[in-house]
Amino acid sequence: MSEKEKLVAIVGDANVSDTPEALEAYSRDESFVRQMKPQLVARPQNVDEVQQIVKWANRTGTPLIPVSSGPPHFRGDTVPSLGGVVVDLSRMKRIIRINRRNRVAMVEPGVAFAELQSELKKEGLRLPMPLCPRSSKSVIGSCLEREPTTIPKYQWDISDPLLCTEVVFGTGDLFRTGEAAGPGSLEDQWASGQAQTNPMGPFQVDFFRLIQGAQGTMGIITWATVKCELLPQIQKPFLVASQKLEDLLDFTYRLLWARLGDELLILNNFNLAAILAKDRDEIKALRDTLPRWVLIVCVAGYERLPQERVEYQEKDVMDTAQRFGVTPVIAIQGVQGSDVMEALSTVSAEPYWKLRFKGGCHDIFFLTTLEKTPEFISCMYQMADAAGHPGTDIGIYLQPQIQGRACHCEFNLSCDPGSPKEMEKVRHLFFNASKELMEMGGFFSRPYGPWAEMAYSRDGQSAMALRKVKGIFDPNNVMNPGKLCF
Amino acid sequence: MTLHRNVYQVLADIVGHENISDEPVILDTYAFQWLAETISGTKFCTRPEAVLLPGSVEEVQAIVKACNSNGIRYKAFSTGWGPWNTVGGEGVIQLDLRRMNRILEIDEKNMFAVVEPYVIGSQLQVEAMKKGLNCHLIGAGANTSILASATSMAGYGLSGIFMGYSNCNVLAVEWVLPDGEILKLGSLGSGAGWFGGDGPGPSLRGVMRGMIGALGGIGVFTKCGIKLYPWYGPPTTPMEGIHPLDGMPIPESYQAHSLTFPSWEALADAVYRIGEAEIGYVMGRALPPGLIPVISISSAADYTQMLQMVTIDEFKYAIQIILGANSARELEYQKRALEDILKETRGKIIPMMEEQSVKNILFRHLIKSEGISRVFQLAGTFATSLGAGTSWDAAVASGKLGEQLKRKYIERGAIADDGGDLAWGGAYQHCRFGHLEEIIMYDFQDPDSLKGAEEYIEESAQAAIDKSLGQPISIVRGMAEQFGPTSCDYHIWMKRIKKAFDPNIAADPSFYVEPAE
Amino acid sequence: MTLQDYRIDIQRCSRCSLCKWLPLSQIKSWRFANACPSMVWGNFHAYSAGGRMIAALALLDGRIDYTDKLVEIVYQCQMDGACDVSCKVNRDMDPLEVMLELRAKCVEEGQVLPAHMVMIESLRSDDNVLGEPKAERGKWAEGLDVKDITKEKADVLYFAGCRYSFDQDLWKIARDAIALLKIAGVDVGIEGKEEACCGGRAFEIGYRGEFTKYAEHSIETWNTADVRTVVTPCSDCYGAFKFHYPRIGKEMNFEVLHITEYLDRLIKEGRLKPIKKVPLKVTYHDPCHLGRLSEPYIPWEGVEKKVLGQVIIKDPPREYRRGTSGIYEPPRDILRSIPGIELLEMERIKEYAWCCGAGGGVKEAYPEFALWTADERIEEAKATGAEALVTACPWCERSFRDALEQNGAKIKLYDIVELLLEAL
Repeated sequence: MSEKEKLVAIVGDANVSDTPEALEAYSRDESFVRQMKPQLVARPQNVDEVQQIVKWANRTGTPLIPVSSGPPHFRGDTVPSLGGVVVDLSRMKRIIRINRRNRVAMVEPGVAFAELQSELKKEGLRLPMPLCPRSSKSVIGSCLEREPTTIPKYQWDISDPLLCTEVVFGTGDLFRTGEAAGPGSLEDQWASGQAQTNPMGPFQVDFFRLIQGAQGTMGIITWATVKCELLPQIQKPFLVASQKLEDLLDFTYRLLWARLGDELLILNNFNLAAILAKDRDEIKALRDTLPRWVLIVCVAGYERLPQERVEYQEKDVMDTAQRFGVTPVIAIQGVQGSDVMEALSTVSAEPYWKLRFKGGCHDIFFLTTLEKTPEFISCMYQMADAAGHPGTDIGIYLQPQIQGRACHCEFNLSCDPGSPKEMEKVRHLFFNASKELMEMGGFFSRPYGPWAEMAYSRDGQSAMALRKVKGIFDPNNVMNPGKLCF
Repeated sequence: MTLHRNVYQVLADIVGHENISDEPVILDTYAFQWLAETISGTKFCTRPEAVLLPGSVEEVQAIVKACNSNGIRYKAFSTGWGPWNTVGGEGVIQLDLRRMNRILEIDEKNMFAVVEPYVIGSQLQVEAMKKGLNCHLIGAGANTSILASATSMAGYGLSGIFMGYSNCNVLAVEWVLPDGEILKLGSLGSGAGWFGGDGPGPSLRGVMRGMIGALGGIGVFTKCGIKLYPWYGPPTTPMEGIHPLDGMPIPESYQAHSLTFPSWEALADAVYRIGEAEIGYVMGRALPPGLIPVISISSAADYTQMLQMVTIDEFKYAIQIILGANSARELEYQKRALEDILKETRGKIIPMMEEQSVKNILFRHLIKSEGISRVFQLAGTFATSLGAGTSWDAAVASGKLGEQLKRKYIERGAIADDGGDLAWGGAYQHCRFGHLEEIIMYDFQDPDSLKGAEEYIEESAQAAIDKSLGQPISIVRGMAEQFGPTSCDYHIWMKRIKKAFDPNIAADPSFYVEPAE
Repeated sequence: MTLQDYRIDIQRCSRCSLCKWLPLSQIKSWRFANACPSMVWGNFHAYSAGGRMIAALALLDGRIDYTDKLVEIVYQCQMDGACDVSCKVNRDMDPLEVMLELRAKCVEEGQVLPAHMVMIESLRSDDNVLGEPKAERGKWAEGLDVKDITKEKADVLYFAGCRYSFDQDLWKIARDAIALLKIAGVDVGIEGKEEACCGGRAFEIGYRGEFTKYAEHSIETWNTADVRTVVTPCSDCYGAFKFHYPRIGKEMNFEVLHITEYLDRLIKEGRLKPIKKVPLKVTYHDPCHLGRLSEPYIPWEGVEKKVLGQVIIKDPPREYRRGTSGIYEPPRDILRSIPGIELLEMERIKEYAWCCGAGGGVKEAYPEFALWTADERIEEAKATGAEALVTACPWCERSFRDALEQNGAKIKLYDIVELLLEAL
């Protein structure tokens, strides 16, 4: 029996592909990561199949590249480094459980944001999302990547909203992380009132933290619980404009301190235009009319006294604004706060907002603290200028994280994939700026593609420690080899 | 085993002769511990071979390397309260980190501090309050190390509704690994500061600790970033009244109440609703019925009389709550929300606890986390049980179960008759998870009482397994082996981690796990 | 009670370490959070009250024997009682009593310090602990128009104590106090060279026999002489009269007042009128023996019994000393009565005050430690922004003077008596 046949035996004939088109589709993404075709694509439907695939991979020494989200991919983490089999989890689409009382949902990796949000809405819940995710983005994929969400006050830990998981480790062993580990089966736990809301442990190890951020190098998640929030009954978004970023920062800090507002983020004019406009021309037009920086803050009322909550929050936001010399408004240059909120509350319309301007986009992002972002931005503009990349076309997204302790700083470099010259320019800018921003103290905590080498060469001890972890959970290095420091 | 003089000399050269001792009197003061009798049958556990007081990460590193080279083990602690701080057997030296006691930074804007191991909760809290910030204090008390709670121990505290759990509050960490290498966890390792503890890539925080920390089994933590939270009160908080019944005047931006409900179910509903309304600054069962008297007694003698007063129904399903707000408007909103919740759940504010001086004492207890050591006062010692971190409903089920299991031990006189309900705990992160641990008070000097307490702990642990209520909070040796098989064999993975990170088994494994074969 | 009597209590220590800190809600800063000088100086847990209780248990159980280290641990402590206050926030325990009993046991078993033996020898030969000739005891009062109470009756016996009697640098204060009393028209007398040590220091360093001898002497002498009121400017002596004398069970037919209590009374009665402005920002150091250690001894004899299954209560109920009844307001009221004085409080005050360093035989046996302890207090005083540190005890005064002399810190030092006199 060939290896393909063995896989077919596990997932069925229809769920193994080796057509050139299929392999080609998984061989590259929008990133600068080197292309490589997998040998096969397998689409398991349940945990048993996943487990059998991982065991098979260990027996055969075959690399496995887990993929949850649909295309387009941007980070290079789903592009094989050494060939192997792509484990496409898109068939695992069950929303296993939504528990309103504990505000938690249990989903499989193939569930995308839009699918979950619509089900959650029926229960009066929502899941904090990254900034306008593409429609094909897997909820679990996003959680595992530690993508920032737009509601910093709900991010108690940078791992949020990820809670418990079921995982097939690289060894092929099945495990449940957090309180889901036991004692008892899930059904037993549900019967006792548990709802897999505590991600920590079991006991003295936070296993879920070792899987999160691992780019599929430790194992494959087959379900996870995620921390949902109440669906707002009333939302009142405000926009605060400034030509100078620095003028917004102290106000932002104060909002974070006072836990005022739910969604709280800063976009530059380019990115605000990009998430609202339909195409390149609209983006350009809107960008040119918008102030350079816009802080978005949305106050909301939930089930309990929603009007009263919005009222006090609005007044407190206004008082705070006055104190810091800024002016929250409901619309700026024709852009309504409500339009912005609509964009933030849903997945991106097609085409994905990052691709609308030129068809391609390369993101540089890292963690820092909010007050340091102007220095990084200044550096980015200088480097873009030197590289001949128009600063006006750089999208910037600042997302306070961990309830304000850190800030996700993201630069979006739009480019035309059809222009080799422009691509080359952006490639150079991407590499050089990444390096420089890292040197300046940008923390590339999610080191995709070429960043991995840069990040781990700065932090050799973490690399060594992670290799020990890898040796435990994936001793044969079958899980997405070639990524991170493995 | 006595430490070879050459090894002693090597260690003394690292810390200086004044900071090392193997005098029996010194060693015995480290062998003595609360609950030691459950390990050794006496108040003394095994003596460490020597006690060292390192003053810097470099010294800690040198000690750890020396241990690896010389085949000895080490066990570090910060404030060192509880039997898990003692050494697990012969051939182990103890590192007392009390000389590393600085608050290195309070980053007001980004709301975090950087602390060394021997900064206690009270110290960080008062310094943070001067800057409009506060820190999560654990229920054990503000006399415990902030760093130890964040890196190495547990982290439940009733401010958790607003300030989370210690595991979730830790940011970057400076960590001397079991083999003596220094790992700078998270952003620190990349030279980016203290704001994050995760990455690059998978978070090694997962190795550092879980729901419970490694209790010395995975190295020594010498600095950590820790989240701070808003404090809406004045920068200084003088007490009023005569100690120990002094109170903390309640600032205008706060309110303190004791609430009671007609049933466990109503209490459970109310806490969920409080969480959803995102109200509450401190909330939980700080004073379950069996502990209510401690609010107004100064010695055990007053307890009996008071307990008789509070076992009446209105105290039965009680919680305490502090509302705290950024503005008068927000406080008003929180008050209204609470009133609504009380109406819906047929809860009420306990009138007896509304007297201003009582509220001030309650406020002090809850804000300063000062009162819990009362549980030692009444019967000589206490132990705790159940209390897994889980959904609030399951936590309430633990509380009910604990009360039920205790009954026969109370009836036979083995443990203090506290009315049965001493379920302490709360709901954290606006009720995203919670815990209720059932406390028992007993006299360890009375063999029947000690035996009863041990039997209860065992029975409650088994009940937690049988009823799928999560792993109990009480920490005993060999716990991983006891619960691992019931929970995805996690102990096997821990053993592998231990083996990979500590090839010489230099970090005392006694409250962690022995490495894999 | 003997050390053995405390064995059960000792075992109940949970090692919470609260004895090392101020009561938690009293902590006001990182810098001044500690309560126990010995612990900060010695660093090993054994140097805390909890540590000493464990050491005592280990000794009782025969786990350890006497060594130089054990003796050092026992004596490297000012016995200032801050630990006792902190412990009792939540516990019914007596760490200070245990430490006192531990010292007594050490002395009984010959485990003593040479420096303390010198004090005791001096006590035996010259009725003082300072190694000074008894004949010179009354010299501090030479030239003062004050009654000799051994020869004629007076309403008030002014008891100077060893330190004021022999420390010439401090004589002015002792004399100023007399001046104040005379201005107020008080009929005051002294014992002159017949005055003998109060015995308090002997008690603190474990010499129970000597203590009893001096306590009996004082009580009998004053009872016999029909003394009604004893006023002392020495907080150490005051603490001995209040806290230790009742232990010997002799009736004291006289009232004991500290000079600050008496002066406060005189001011409030209008017999002293501070009207002259003394423009000074001051901070006040509560001497331990005037504060928490002056709280009267509360005798108790009884048993433990169990109620509610395992709740342990004392029968009959026992009242605990918690430091709250020390003399805290009179000295402050005096300062407040002086025009121009601005009182700035330190962080650790009243029952939570940090020790000056001199007590418990530490100044004699571990002078460096005593100086360091005083330095710490001076730092705390300076942190208030005060120009002057004011106290009300010659031992504190001596300790601070020595520290200031050594470290050159720029802060003035006064006894409260000096400031009051200046204001009249």
